[in-house]
Amino acid sequence: MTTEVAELLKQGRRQDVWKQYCGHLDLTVPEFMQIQERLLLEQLQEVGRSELGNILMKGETPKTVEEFRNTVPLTTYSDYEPYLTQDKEHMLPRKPHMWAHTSGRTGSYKWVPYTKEMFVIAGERVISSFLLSMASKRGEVRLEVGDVMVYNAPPPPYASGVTLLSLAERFPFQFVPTLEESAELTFHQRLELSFQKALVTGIDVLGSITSVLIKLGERFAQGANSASLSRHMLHPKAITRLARGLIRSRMAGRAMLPKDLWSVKGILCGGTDTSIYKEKVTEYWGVVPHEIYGATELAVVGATQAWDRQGLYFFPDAIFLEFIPEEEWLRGQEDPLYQPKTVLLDEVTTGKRYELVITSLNGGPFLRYRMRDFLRFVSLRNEEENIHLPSMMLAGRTDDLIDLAGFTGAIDEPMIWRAIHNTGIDYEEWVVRKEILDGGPVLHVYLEVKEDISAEEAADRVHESLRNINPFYADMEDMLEVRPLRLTLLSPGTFHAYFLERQAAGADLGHLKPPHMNPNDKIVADLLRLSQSV
Amino acid sequence: MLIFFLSVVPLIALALYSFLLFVTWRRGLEKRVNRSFAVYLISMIVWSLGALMMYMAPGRALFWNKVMLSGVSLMPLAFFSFVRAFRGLRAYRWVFQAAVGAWAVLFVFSWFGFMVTDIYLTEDGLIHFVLGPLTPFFALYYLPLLIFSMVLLAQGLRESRDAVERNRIKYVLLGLVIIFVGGFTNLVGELGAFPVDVAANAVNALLIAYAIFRYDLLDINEVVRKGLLYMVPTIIIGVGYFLIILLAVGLFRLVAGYQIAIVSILVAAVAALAMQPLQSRTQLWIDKLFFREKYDAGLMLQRLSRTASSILDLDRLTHLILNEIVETMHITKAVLFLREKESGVFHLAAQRGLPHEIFIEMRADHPVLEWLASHTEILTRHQIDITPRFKALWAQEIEDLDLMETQLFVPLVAQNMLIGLLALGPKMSGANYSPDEKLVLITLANQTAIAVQNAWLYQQALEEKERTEIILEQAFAGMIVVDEDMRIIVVNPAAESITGHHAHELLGEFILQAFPREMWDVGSPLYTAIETGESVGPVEVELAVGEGRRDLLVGVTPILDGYLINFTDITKLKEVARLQSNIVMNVSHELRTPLTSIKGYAELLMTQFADNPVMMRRFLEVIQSEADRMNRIINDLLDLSRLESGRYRPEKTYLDMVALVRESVKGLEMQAQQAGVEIALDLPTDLPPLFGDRELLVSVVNNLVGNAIKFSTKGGRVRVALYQQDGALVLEVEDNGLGIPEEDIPHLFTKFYRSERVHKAGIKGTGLGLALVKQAVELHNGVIQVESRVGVGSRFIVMLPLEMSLAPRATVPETAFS
Repeated sequence: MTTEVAELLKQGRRQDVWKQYCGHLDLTVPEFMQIQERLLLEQLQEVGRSELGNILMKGETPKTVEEFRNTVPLTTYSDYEPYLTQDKEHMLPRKPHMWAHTSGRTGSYKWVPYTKEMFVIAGERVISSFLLSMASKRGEVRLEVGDVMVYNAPPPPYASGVTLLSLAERFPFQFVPTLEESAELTFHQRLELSFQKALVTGIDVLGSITSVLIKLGERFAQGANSASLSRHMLHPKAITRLARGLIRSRMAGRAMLPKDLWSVKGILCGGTDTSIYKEKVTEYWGVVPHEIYGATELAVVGATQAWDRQGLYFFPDAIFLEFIPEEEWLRGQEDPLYQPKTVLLDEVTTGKRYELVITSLNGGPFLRYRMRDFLRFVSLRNEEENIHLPSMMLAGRTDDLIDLAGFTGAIDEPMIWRAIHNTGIDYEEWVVRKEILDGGPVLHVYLEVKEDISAEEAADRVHESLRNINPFYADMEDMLEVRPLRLTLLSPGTFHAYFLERQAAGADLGHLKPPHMNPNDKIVADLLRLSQSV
Repeated sequence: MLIFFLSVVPLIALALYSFLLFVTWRRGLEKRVNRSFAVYLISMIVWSLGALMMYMAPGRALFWNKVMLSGVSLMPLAFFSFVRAFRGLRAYRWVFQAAVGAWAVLFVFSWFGFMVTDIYLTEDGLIHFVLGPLTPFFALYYLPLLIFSMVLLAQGLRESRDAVERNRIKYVLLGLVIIFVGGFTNLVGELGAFPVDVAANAVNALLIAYAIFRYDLLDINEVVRKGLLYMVPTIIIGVGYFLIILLAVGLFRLVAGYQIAIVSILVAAVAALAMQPLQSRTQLWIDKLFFREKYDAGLMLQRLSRTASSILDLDRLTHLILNEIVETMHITKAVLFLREKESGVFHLAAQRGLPHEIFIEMRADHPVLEWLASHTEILTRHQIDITPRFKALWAQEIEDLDLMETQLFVPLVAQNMLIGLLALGPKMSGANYSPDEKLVLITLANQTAIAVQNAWLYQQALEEKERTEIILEQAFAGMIVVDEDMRIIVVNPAAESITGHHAHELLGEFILQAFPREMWDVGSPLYTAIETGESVGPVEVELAVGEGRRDLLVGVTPILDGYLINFTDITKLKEVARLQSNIVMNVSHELRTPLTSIKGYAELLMTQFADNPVMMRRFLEVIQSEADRMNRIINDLLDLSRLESGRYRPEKTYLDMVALVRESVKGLEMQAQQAGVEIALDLPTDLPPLFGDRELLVSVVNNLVGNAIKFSTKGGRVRVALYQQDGALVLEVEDNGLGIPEEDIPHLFTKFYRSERVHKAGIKGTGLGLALVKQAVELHNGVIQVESRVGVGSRFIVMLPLEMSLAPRATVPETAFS
């Protein structure tokens, strides 16, 4: 029941476009909760009639949100795995329109059925995010029919590819490369082709992994643009663009940067490193990256920043939201039989971390599904921008949390990012994990640096930085009189060698890089081996 | 002088364009539409400046003409660019690029004198041009571009489903038409020398500016409508004026000089007098002819305002309103929902265009209802589609909206509460609802809400009235309502019964028609209520109402425009209270009499006759007799109590009544001998058995025969007869004794009742016997009758049905001992 955005733009009804796609930021918490509650009750009726729902809810369909939270147990993917296959579609609440899978970081794919409505919503959420990524104030709609979108998302059945399909149905972006072209390309080929073609087409909006943007920016900054000469670069428009970029960079007295070539209206990024790299992306691309929070189970985009590009705000109609407070999560960790209590969006408090629990709406399969993602609410309302909803930031994966010696101030991925970043050490990449040394737990950082620094000095600086960021870390040292940090410097090129080795082994996209948090013994052994050989 | 006037037009246009450019710049140039509009304004500024300077500096007219041509040539290009931006089109870029090329060529060549080769001022002060060889090419560039712009706008008008958007396009189209009209004046002889085209462009710029900045505040139809309204009378009056002057000059040839002024004043006066009625009539005529829907809607409103408020049947009302709307506005589907008070659910009250069996209701928390309740304005389907709050709609609810094809939801609000809504589907013509129609619907909705509220209130009042009537009908208490003049306006059946007057005798009459004077006296409940204005009562009063005086419990409550007199007849209750008091007195007396004898004889035995065995024996026999008497009294009391309370469980057997009577009478022979009374039995031998309780029936015979003996004089005769009559066994006990006075007969069967005459005659008794007999007979579904004359004797007739004897008792009797 949505009006096509392109039609609205043609009619000059930009305010209607804003209202339809970004109007959720005008909602109050009670209005947000009303949407959540109504859609949940509708969903429960539908799930209750399905075989899967009968299994998960034990034949009882809750009539209220409270009853639902009290009677339906929390679930994980293993609860669904036996039923989420195409030959068991009849067990699902609604017939899937498409199947999507995750990037499979843990080694196996998680398949998720998308109903027609979820598929539509997936595309709409991206339009919302792009609109917000281009806006600098409320109501500013800079999206135009035929805008050029450069992306490096993989093709379907990856969830991001499915989303692009939906997006293409919803809005006439000029996709660079086209979705058909993209389906045949590897990640690197796609990347290379997209930016070569973008020299001709220009870039209006960009959807990318932050690190790719940084990498490209660095290559420009170092004047080492090794992009091979292609027919696209001989196009008059590309020559004009390159000439213009050259003039701009010369006038600024620096190497040519992406922002000299392209006037990008908005950049959409996801992942925990977005906020860390925010300034660098802005410096290279001339636009502040717009962060989104997404996952396959959420119908891809679950939350997005507003035009101020601070905290992320949830959409009200894609999933029903519950949050496990950190203390409840810890209690659940200690006692596997314990069912952690959840709070709703109107019950969260700022500063605290919560594990996200979702229930699919629009006929999706998940009921009280633990996302294993930790969120931190940064504000309950944004007075400056007059947004009356809680905003949050991603605090990493619960699997990735490191808990040392019973000190419950768990260390998460962004915390390590910030600690290393704050040291000022010019580094390439890192991994960290908890190890037991001499009978005690330690935090072991494996760091590849780009400058000449000793392991001791690097360890001292990271340690001090961590102490400043995390009071529990500092307390632990003060009380136990041990420094819980070990740091191993890896030789330059170690991570790149790892990347190449994994690529050569035919690893999936999600396994080309080692996970930052808690890599397994094999990964650490590989890194150490490669460090010695490079 | 002419040059001055001619230069005023471009000067005004220049000022206007400059001002618009400033406003556009202030509103920001980020939007493509604003940027292209700014370029258009710049072209018009150049055009106006050139035109102005040609008049102001005729010596350099050719130069300023070239400046003007720069603006003129840029204008269609800028306008085309604006139309593309205005419609959000990215297509036709090639047209734009080609036009840019053409403009560049024309621009250059116009400066080399290929457009206008010479320019000169005529004697009458008008400027004339000598056109160059490029002029036809200029026309080939200029006209197609403007025509194509017009086509794009017309396309937009046809495709757009949104009224606001269509309105905006209409403004720009209107402006374009004005440009064309202005441009064509250049081809009309001498008119071409006047800057009509500049003026037309100025009007166009104003319209576009309005369309951009304020388009949503003014309906283009209203502009056209008002334009026609003033244009038609102007034409009529102008023509009239011309004809009158012509007539005056032609016929009389007298009108000249100041006389023309007199004729003009006369015509003006006539025009002034005719203007108002002419304007009203013209408006009506224009609406009827050109704005038929508006005209019809106005008529509909008039019709409904006349009829709706007088219809109190909700079903009829809702159907009437819906039919009027559907037929006047030519709507395919329409539904009227009304709120159910208790649940808050909105039910379908009337519908047109949907299947008859359809069932749609809207829950109290339906997002559309919540929105309408908080906004109280029309909600469109488009708003539902784009407003995030409506994400809360369920799939079924969306299906319902789709089924109804609702385009507009019109709230029905009464007393700040949403009581219903009109869900209107598409119009048959496929056109959108105009702002005018929305205004009509809002007005209509307000009227409908009031009418529905009235119908509800009426229905509620009817229900209330019915309820009140039932209460009044069924109430045990009498209720009389009087107005402020103490005229009776309501009487209930209980009041009729108590006062002994029919309602028709009382209604409209003064209060004293129902009650005696005391009701109106100082200190009476009614008087006090009138004095204090507060409720009084309930108060016990004794009044002469109906037959004789009665004890009443009276309360008076002031009501809106009178008083409610609430009263209950407590005469019987008072009697019962009195009876209870008598019973206690009688029982005490009856028990004390034998007790006194027992005590007296016992004292005598102890003090005087302790050694006299003969006297001792006699006294002890008396004591025993009196103790037996006490025992009988107590037994009778207990039996009676059990019978009256319904706790007595009769032992049913088939009895031979002849044997039973014989046996009983035999036991009374001694008493009869002592009293010197003869007992005669009239007992047949072929009577059927009676199904009854032996003990009770023995008691009946004993009491009746015993009383007959007791109240007979010496030598008297008691006849006891049994016979069968009409399916009943009849027992007759007749004596020729004292007889019973007529006034005592109704009280004979009342417990402890003993007449003064019997009491004075010294005949002993408890007053319980006949009460017991009556209870026993009634327990056998029988009847007891008494016939008696003082000094002649009495006859008690007991009829015991043979079939229904000892059937269960229907009710538990009231008893003074309860």
